[in-house]
Amino acid sequence: MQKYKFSRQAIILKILKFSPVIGAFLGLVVAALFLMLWKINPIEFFTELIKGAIGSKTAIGSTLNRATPYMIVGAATAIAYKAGAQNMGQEGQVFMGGLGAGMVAVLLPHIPSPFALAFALIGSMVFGALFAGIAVLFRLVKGVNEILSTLILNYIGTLIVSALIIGPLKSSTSSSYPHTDSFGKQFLLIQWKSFGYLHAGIFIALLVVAGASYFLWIHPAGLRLRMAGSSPLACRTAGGNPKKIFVRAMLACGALSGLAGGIELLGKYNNLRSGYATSLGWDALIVALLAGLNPNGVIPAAVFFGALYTGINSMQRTLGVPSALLSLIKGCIMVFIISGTALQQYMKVKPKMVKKEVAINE
Amino acid sequence: MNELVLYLSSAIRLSIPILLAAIGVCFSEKAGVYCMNADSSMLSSCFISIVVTLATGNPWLGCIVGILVGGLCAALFSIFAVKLGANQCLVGLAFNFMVIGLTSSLLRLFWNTNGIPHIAGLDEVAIPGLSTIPIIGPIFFNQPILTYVVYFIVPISWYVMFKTTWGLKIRSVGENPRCADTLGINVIKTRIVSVIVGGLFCGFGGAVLSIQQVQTFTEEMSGARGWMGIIAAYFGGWSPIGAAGASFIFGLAEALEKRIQLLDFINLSSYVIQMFPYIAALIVILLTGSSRRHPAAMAKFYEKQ
Amino acid sequence: MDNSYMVEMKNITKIFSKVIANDNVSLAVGKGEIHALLGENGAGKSTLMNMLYGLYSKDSGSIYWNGQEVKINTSAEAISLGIGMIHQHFQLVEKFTVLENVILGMREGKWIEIPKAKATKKIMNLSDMYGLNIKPNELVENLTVGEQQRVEIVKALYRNSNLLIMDEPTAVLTPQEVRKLFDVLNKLRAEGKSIIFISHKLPEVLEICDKISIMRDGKMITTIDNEKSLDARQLASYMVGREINLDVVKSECKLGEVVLKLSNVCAASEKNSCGINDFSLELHRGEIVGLAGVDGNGQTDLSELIMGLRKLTSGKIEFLGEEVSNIGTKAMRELSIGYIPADRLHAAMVLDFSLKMNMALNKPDKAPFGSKWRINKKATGIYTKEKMEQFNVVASSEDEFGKNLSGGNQQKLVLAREVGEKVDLIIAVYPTRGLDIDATHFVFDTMLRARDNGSAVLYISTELEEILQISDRIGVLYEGQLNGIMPGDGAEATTIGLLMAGQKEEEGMHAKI
Repeated sequence: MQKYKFSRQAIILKILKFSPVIGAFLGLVVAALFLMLWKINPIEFFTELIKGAIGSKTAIGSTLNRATPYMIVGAATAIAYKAGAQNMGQEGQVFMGGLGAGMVAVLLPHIPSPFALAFALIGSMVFGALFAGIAVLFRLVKGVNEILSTLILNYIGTLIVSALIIGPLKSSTSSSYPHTDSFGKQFLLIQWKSFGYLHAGIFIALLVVAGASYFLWIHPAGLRLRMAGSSPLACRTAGGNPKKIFVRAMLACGALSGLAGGIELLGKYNNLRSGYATSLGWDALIVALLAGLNPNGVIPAAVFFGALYTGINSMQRTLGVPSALLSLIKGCIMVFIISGTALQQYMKVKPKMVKKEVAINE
Repeated sequence: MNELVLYLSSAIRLSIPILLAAIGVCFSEKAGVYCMNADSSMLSSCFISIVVTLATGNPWLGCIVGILVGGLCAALFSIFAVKLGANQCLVGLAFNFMVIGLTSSLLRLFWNTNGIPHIAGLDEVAIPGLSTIPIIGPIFFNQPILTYVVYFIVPISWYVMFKTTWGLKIRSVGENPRCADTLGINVIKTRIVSVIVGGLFCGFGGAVLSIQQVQTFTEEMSGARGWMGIIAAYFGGWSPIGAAGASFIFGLAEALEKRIQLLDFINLSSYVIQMFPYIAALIVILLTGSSRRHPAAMAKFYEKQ
Repeated sequence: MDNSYMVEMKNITKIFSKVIANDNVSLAVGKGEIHALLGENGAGKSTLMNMLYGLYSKDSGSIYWNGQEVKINTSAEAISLGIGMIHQHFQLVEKFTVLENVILGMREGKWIEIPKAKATKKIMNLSDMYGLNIKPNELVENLTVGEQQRVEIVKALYRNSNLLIMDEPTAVLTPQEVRKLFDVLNKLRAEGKSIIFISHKLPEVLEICDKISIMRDGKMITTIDNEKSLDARQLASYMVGREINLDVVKSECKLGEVVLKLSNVCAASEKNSCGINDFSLELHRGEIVGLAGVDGNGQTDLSELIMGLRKLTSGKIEFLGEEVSNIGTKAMRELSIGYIPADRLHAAMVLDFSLKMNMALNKPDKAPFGSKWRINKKATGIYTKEKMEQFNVVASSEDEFGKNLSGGNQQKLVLAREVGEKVDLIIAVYPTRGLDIDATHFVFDTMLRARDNGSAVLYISTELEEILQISDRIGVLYEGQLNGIMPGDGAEATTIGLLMAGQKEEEGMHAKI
């Protein structure tokens, strides 16, 4: 047999396995180059980025706080995609989740702790699942692909939240920005002031990721789910039900995204305000990609992205860097990661001929 | 009655960017490539058209450069989506982020918080004779110039798609690329060309949006128009004529959104009004359902051996 | 160079990353000649022809057309030389009309509009000349298989092909349609056109071809003239490289209780399938019932219906006496049934999974694969390894991915999973499709052993020779109905051929010689 272990092609393939890491790095490089337009040299860029992300206790706290919802939604997205449910609606589902938690807190303010927090978070999961359910209904009843419907629903979700905040849920106190009434303390997550306001959501996130990993790789139902995503026909032949699995995966992804929204809201703020979770869903989608669509990789990916976010935001203050830069970085990272995966497929399909000498050794 | 005429006229005017994007989507998707670069081609064109118009004072030049930039964006997209065979939806999303980031950052860099100044724009031109026909006249023939160009583009692109050998090639590559390959058609090249053509149309849509309609550039101004172009094409069965019909529905929704804001007696939150186009999109999606079959080889990677 | 040949391929070599597909192969085809290219699956025939047609690039060697050396880098170049290819799986755009399919990719002068009138005239001329019976404005998806094949032929002729490469042309035809095809081929030969006839069906090759070239393991073994004395045994031994016994040794059939009973079952027809119409059959322990039929007459419908993948609209299915109509695939999978579906790649296994996970596909929560709460990877691996040895599945390990196995090994893995433990009923659909002779005989062995061990076997295949060899009883599927059933001993291919084409069973049919 021809050995191609040490051929150039094999080396490239091995490198490409690390696509997420390389992709992330290249994305940052592109941003650094772009920033030269602002007369900021790359070294400055990287030092300020790292300083802003993990340079102080406050920074670390912010980074981990940001990583918390990323972990939850990232793990949920990984499961959804493995089931073949291409959910692009995390952004809207997160917002609706926060809405759910906020509505419980505002409309049922007299629930005592410890139930208050639980109810609020359950509310966020229900709202998230229902919102994802709209796309599921479209698919079941009319066969509409969930990519387009969830994309459009994102816009509608954020608008619903904003509309409600200046409408029926409007706070009785006036202020510079639209918001609801404040939540009672029993609804909020514990925060550690000294550690950059790090909130208890991180523990929930870690639990979710562990649970997702266990479910996907160890539990038999996880095997069936992966079958449904990889080969629905084989799934049916083996006795599974790809349709049911799709529905459950979408609803679960919606519920968990909603949960992330609720945690974000109750961990950071004490009332519901518009735009509280902007771009959270989109970032989480990229985190899932960075993690290779696998819950096992979500934690480092989420922390990395949280650091990126915190770092760029701090650079906005210290160096005047536009926050839109994050969007550019996001896009570049995505492109590099996706190309890396595609290149792997591409190279496997077009194998190059190996030197004849190896064949003679047979 | 006059109100209705004005409403319909503005519906047509507002539907043009989406219509152009939809035609671009038709070409791209008939060849088997999800036109996920619709929004990025559009937005990048919006930006460049305004910048060039400001710099040169010539809106026509701005328009042309916008079209070309839309094509350029599509060309880049096709490298990843067609040549490498990456997941087209995700690449499209990524390009979206990149273009949003690029344009917003450049906006911030060069124009600070002032934003880009408005340009003169293109006025409405009433076609003599035709615009005096009762009812139909003012609706169709009292439009800005670029709209009239689009009136010709729709039937021409339909003809090219369905009545020429070139259109046959494009459709074959989307339905059965292997069959096309065995007949000597270069599948990858045909797909890339279709995607670029799609990008040119989306670019044109972006130029119309920024030069003719909004007359400036603001962050993320393309909204979800790229996605709506995709939905319109889907509803129209990827035929330019069907897409025109669906785009008109979107135009109606957007015109309604603008008009209601002027009518005080309907007391709807402005956010709810902003939802109209998106709800229209969902309705269109629902109406179409799965009755339209994508070209059989949609998004399937094609490789030569 | 010799001008008397239409095309000569000399010393052609083609290597894919791990396999030498063509090893110094030479082939010469004369003018007005039907030349057979014979060989097992994987022998290298398709690879060689793909190079001639410009779909693959050759690594070394040369090609001569009418005595001149040529380089064929693309299909377009092959077409311009006058080479046409009709693939095993037709390359037609179903949604287009016949006319659009024929003119696809052709430049008709300067104007880019589709030249409807001119093209129609040319097509009808060709159709009349060769008796092809073409309907230019019909949508291809509405044509029968035989008609589609003739569209492929017209496509080639429209491009002024003088050499037609036909890859397994009779695989999807009834015996009667094969006759019609041979008429056309004879007419083409009379006009001086040449045909390369790729096949593994020895009787047909012996009937129509002038010369026969045999390939094996990537090498060209020999080229011989088709003389009267030549017979199938000789050809088969060239193909396989040793004396082979084409016969299958079958012990006597010991019938037991009824395992599967289908009573007047019906299933609705769908887009690409004809449904099942009033089908009744009883399957006993210890017997193999073979169902013959041309592809598309309900083979997948029937097997899917039994396994609960399709809805039963009327009638009854009973397994070991218990009614199982419409209990759903999940429940069917819990019964002692081994199912080998037609679509090996997409229905029988998950290509992206490892081999050991593929073994656990049906019952990941049962021993030895796992329990209710977890999959036992270690135990699964050990079990898989055992079965891989037992069934001779060649792979680097049980962690290898399904997609990296050859077709034969994939099928063996499926067999290992489905019939590795004793089961009461086996349903096998096209189990030898795409397999070489060794793997095919392995499948036969497995089926026969299971039958001797007391299982009931329903063997659905398009290969009539196989069915004749191993079945105890033979039935014919035609348009979703059981069009005749008879004992395996003494069954005649011609009779079955007629039943496969739709003729009804009549008195004395089986007595025909």
